[in-house]
Amino acid sequence: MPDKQQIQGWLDKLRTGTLTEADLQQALDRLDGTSDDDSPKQQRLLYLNTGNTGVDSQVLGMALVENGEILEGPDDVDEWPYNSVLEAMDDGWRVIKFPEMALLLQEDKTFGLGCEFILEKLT
Amino acid sequence: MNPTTSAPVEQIGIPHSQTTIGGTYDCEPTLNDQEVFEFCRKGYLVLEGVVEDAVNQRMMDFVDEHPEHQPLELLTEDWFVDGVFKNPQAAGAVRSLLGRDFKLPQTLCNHRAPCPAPPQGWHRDGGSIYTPRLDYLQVFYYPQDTPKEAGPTEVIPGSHFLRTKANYMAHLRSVKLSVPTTAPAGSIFITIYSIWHRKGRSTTNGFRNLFKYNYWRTTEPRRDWKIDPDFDFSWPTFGGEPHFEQFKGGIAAAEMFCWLSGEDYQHTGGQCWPCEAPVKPPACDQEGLPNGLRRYSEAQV
Repeated sequence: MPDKQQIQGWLDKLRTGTLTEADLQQALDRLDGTSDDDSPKQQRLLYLNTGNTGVDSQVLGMALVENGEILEGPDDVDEWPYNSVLEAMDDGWRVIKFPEMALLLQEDKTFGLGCEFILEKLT
Repeated sequence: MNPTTSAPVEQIGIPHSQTTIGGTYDCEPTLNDQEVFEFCRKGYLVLEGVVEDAVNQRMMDFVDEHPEHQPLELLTEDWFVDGVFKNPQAAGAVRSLLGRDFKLPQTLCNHRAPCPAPPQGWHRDGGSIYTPRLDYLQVFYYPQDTPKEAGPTEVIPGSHFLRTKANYMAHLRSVKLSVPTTAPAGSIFITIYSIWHRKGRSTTNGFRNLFKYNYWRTTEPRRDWKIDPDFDFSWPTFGGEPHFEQFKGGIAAAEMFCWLSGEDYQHTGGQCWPCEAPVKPPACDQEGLPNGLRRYSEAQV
């Protein structure tokens, strides 16, 4: 299915007189699901452990899953890609799991490493 | 707690010449109040370069000949038992934490890891439980220099109070709070068993050797380490502990310290001991501090 960005691209071409038959055929192929661009996307996962449940909370831990590998962050924590979940969201990551609030049923005990967000990107 | 053992108890400060596996040992405690409290809070203590070079070298020769995971013949080698298990600084720290007549390790293993290698997954060791009691210690010994490139064990300070299960930690990778136990040859580090740890990434060549063993308590806990009459328990300065709700890490450490001290302690709630010190600590004991740890005479009722 064509997305907003693709339709905007065709509109721009129409306005400049550069829209071609091939562009329209590509749009049709995408609606039919026969275009290469609609091949299944690969899921990337980003685990971020934070100090609290706010998306602006400081990141304490991270792991990245992509291209069949589970990756560490850079050795130098100052070079980690995101300081908060919010920064990751601004970079296109989508939150798919929020911290597990059920653990609060034992509020006098501390479970796990901070609060864990799981984010994904499809590429 | 069973205070009796079938093996002979050695005299204080006298090296043993006839090693008995699982025997008890006693020596002078070396840690003071502040160091014991810090250990309760962080869950580990590094003693750098405390084992003699001659023992370290002998160990390196030994592991070349005995690369197996459990070289149990070491348990009856006097040079090893005296130089490592009964090392004065290490045994003194163990004595401080486990009390007199603590039981020597009954087994050991060598985490001999080929390098280079990726980091191990974070884990707590099997059998971990969560309790303010401190009935045993897990101890590690590096016979060789172990810089970051050799993949030293990494620990997360305070994580001995973080409840989880090892198979629920496997997705974790980089942890900002983690500390590599980089250390020169002859270093020993002492841990609370449930601390989260892993072998770090190694980038050098060869093997990293790391011996691991446990000591056990045989006596009821007492505050019989090096008492520091000037240490003020009331107003601790913990610093940031972002993996805990405010005060929770300190409260858990206080529960363990009080158990070690033989003091009754029940956290009252609110802003009471062990809340962190204000900018200028007042000259009084903090509300909630157990009687035996109080410093100001007017509070010792």
